Amino acid sequence: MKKVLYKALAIGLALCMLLPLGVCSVFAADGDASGNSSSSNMTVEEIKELLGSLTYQEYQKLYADKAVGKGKLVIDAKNFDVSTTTAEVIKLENYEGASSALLIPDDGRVTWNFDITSEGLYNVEIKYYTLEGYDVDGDGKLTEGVDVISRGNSIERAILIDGSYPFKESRYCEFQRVWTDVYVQCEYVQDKKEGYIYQYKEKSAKDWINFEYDGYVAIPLLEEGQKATDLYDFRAVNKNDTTQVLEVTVANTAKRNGFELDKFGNEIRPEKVQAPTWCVGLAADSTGYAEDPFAYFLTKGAHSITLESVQEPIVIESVTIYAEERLAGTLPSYEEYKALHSGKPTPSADKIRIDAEMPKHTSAEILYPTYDRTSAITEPQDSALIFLNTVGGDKWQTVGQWIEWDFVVEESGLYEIVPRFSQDGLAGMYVSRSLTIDGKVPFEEANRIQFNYSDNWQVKPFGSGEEAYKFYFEKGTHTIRLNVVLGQMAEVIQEVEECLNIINSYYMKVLMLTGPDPDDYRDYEFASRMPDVLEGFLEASKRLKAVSAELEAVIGEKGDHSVTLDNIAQLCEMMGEDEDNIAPSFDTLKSYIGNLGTWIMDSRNQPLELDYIDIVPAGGEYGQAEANFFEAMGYELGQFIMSFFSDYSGYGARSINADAETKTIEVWTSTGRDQASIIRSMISDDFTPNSNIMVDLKLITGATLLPATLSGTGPDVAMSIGTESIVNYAIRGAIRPLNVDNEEKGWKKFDGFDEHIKSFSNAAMIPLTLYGEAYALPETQSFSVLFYRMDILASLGVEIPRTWDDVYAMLPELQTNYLQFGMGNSLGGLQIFLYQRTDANGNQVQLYKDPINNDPKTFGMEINLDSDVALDCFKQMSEFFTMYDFPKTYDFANRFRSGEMPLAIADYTAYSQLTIFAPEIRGLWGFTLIPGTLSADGKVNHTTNSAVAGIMMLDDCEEPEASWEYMKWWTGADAQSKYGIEYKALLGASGQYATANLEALERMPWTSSERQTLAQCFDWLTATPELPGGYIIGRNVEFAFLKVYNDSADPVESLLDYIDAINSELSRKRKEFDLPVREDFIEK
Amino acid sequence: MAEKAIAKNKGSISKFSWTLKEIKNNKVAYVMIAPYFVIFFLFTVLPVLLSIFFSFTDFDMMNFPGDPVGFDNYIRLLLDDDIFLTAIQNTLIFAAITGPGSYLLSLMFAWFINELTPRVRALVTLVFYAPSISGNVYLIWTYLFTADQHGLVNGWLMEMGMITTPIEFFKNPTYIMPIIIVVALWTSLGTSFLNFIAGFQVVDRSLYEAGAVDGVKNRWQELWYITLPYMKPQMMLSAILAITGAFGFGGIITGLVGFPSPDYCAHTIMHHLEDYGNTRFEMGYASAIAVILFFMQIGCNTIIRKILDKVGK
Repeated sequence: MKKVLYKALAIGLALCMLLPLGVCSVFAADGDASGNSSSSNMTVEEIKELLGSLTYQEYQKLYADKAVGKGKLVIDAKNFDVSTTTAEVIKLENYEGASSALLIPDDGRVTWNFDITSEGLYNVEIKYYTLEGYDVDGDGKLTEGVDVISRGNSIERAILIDGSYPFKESRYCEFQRVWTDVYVQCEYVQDKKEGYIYQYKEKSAKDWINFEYDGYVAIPLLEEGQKATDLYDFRAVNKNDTTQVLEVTVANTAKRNGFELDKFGNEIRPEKVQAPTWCVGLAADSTGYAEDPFAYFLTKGAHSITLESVQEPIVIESVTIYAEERLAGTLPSYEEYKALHSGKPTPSADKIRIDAEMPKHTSAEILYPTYDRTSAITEPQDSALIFLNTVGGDKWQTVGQWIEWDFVVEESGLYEIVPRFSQDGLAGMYVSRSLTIDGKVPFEEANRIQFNYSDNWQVKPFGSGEEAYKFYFEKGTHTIRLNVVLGQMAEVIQEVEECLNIINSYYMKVLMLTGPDPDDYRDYEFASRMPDVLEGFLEASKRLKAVSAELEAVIGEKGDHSVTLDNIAQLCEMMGEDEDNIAPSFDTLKSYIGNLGTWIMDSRNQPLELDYIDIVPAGGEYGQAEANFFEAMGYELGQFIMSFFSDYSGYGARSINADAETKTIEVWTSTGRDQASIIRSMISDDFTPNSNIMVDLKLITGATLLPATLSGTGPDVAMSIGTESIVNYAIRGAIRPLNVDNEEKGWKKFDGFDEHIKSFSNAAMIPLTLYGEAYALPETQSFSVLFYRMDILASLGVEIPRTWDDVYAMLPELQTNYLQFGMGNSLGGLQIFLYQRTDANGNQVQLYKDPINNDPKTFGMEINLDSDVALDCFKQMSEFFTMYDFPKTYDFANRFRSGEMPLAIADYTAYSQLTIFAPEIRGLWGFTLIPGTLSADGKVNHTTNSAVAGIMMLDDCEEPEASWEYMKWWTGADAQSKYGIEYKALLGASGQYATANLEALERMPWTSSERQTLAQCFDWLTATPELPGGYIIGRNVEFAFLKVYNDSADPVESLLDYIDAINSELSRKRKEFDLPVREDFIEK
Repeated sequence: MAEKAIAKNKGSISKFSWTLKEIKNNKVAYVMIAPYFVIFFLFTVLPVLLSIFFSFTDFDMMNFPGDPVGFDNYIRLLLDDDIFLTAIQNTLIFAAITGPGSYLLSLMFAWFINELTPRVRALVTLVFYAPSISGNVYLIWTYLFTADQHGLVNGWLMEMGMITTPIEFFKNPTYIMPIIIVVALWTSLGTSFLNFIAGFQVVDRSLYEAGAVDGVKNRWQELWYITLPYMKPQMMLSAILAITGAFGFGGIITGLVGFPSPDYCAHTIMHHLEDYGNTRFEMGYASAIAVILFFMQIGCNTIIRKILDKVGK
């Protein structure tokens, strides 16, 4: 004890002398806009380059006095520079209407060379096609690995000029896709005589798919060019003799055309599909801080432009380099626009109403029609049935998302655009949209149209606040598009983010001097040691105050949004004015930094819900904003009464075939309320309509399942069950195995089982399988990754450790700076090391001893922890805590954000927690594979244990086939990825769903580098088999570890002490289930 | 009168028909008590009977009711389960310290508080009772004694220079028992404490005067000869609550040190029961544990009754 004390004292003294000398140079920590770069191959140099590179704002300042470029240079995509191009590009001829184009896959770089004749600032515009996939081998189908396949994410490219990134934001340029809803053109048609119901619907926007029944087909009764909008527009006639008409009646009339109805009359959300098309996209800031497209500075002479793939393939026809009208300054202001159209007439036509829920195109799959049940006059509305009547809300809040509508103007003239909208998301603030008409911004002010906050629905024209903008529309069809922008908030948020970065970096500087708990009464002499910190705090304070004042001026009142800013400004001022205030206020500063980060995150969201958009002749009458008292009362009373009669469990069930009885299964989930409601709506929108199986989804608490199963009132299917419970149920015969043929019990291996489990990693099925019988399908799979703080590693000059040897090598550097490494202990810690070892045959070391006589049933009889390799691993793990003083108990998120623990092994789902909990360090951290063990052949083994939760079918399930369909659907790639996307949209950045489905993971809303890291991790996954008596291992290993940790016992002896206890419990438990036990073989 | 009537009829009708007749006569009372009886039987008596039944089977939660195994569970429990012996030992230590300890503490505090003016009394009662109203308030102790180096006690000890690495208070057998006993005493001022306060209120004031006349010399004698005998029912109830509380004191331990405790050092019978019932799904065995716990408590109650009879004598 004494020795340790002296040692600590000596180290401490040495540190006090060393520290001020300069280990604490911290890099200006700029928020990385598009999330966290997390390539595991990043070296310190790359991290430093990334952290130190210019921001666009700095770049703009640098070239502010440069002239605007002249001329328009169109580079044909096919003329790329072969020598520097690394991507496996494919040249296309006559592709989708373009004479030539270039397909660039989702990896590699393509470079074009060009000459600039006039020095100046230029925009970069790309004409691209949002392809869904390209059949490379020409076999008519898209095969993974051979053909180019899009995953439906947004297309991202980095733009390099002359081989380098001109500024940081140029690393992430987004090019949006185009999505469209698939509407139904006709509903159900019933044969009067036989009572059959047939469905007729248009699956694609282009062609009819005629139904055919017993020689009868449906033909539209319209003239060419006319759109069939009603059931009565069709007639079923005999194929050969069109005079022979089948008498049909409308079985289920749609209230209006477009959305399909379920058998109760509720509208079903239409399927969303991509509408691949040629688009023109300008390279712009995907975070929305810079409103205008990027202006690149190019000198006179030869240059090159490179597109580096970040994610998704793309087809490019041409790259255009020119000064766009916003850069060139040719975009008119509203005054000029008004003057231009001053002589135009005011039409006398009626107003044109556009139903917002039926857009022509959207930029994201998630911008689907939604329903509002709060207002009686949202169109259309019903007290009992669900009508899709709005679009947007919190799904339409991220910069870059747009929605586009078409409308027809009968009479040329001046119109106002008047939407009915609800903006109750950003209290006391406004959200912004930019407006384009027929692909063009009509005037400057249309770039930032504001929607103010109100609890109620509002009807207000697009305008400056005092005056409604008047738009000139020619007779004919027009398209309007509303795009999410930050508007005036962009400058505010950017300024605050810069202040946050300044404060954050000074916070780190102080932390490295004082440690996490500064002594209030000690004089650290900040003023003489780091005068820049004091000045920096004062400067940040001034800037924040200015922002707060500006915000107040814009919004017109002081609200909680400005209070957050004022608080931290005041604190910084206090700390900057008097150095004695720094140490006592250090903790408060830490929490304020967090608040500021949250403020930025919240302010970046721009949610807006739309009911309809009216195109009103100038000066015309607007619609009604809110229901009057009687309307509201009538509606709500109706809702209340109807709530006694409505059956919501079957919402979405189609009555395709009246003969077939719709099956109903009961599904229990023990997740949260939000999650359950997403699952519910996914069932209604996707599962029930397509399978015709009704699902009664119930949200229960986890403990209810066991007693319910026991008493025979359990569900058919239970979701999100841990592996231990699954095996507990399974071994007692309470679960229906999925891959077993057993005639006696009437079991049958379910169709497509083998095919379906290929969509998971091999590891995922390990804990769900018991002696060859699979009892559940994996839903989630989580595992450990190494989280690291880039800024701290860069300032220490330490690389991200790839192996445990690297970890040993960097520990002195970390520990001399009071920094820690976090990882798990006991069984979890042991498994990290154990699974990275291989036995003589090159197989991974297991927790249990190998089976005897190749009898699989003998696996799990005996624990493998008394083997040399296991004891060695246990010793290695223990020494990190005893010799290297790793903290055993710690709060990961807190220590990681404060910088005390710049490296930690934690579950990858902690990502969500960090994003929401520590927004102030956004862009300064990443995650990668856990450190690996160097194996004999020189390779690094990164194997990681994983935890799985699954969905299982109870033994007394009455509808096994239907239940299997449900399980297959839910764990399938489509449902899982949809759930992941919805979950994230609902919960924001914190909602990252740890799906077990590999294909779904590809489509999850991760940035591509994060996705790559995760994909790498999946290659290294393993899992601990779940066997009878397994519970005894964890607790005894913990006992052994605690002996080592508390009493400094010898790790090897301490673990050996518990082997007997483990083995005898395993034997005892195995006897209960008539499994072979260890003792049987010892006697022989 | 009634006794006479019974005596007269005794000879003429059987005991059974007499009971029936009495039931008929007092049917209103039976109807009144029926709801309580039904609930009590269904949720208290029946489970006890069921667990006695299950303790002779190997019921595993799924296959109802399991196969009969005779006395196997009991034999294994008493002769072949080292951890159960640890559990019994720990339970008895807890019961011996926290049962009487909390009982006496409640009594003393109630007695002191009873001396205060009504308003102050109400306030102080609330202060003392608060820990047991707010269910998981004991978790404050995890905050105090957390093993995180930024935890209160550890942080303070490290700042004072007494330790260099944080102590795992809840993962080190040396510290677990003392801390848990303190927490147990702290949270035990619950219902029995309120009971005592109520008991002190109902003592007839005139008895003290009569006592003074009869020669009570000091407050101790007043307490021993008048107050306590007068509030025997409350004392009985409090004692039963204290002892069942001490025996069933498992949740707080789990909340503080986790389950299972390191090396089973704070393993009680309740934990053993949970271990076999919830983790291992061996309901038959768990029922046997429950039955033993049940009889231990009955035994304790009998002893307490005997001791309480001595009060005031």
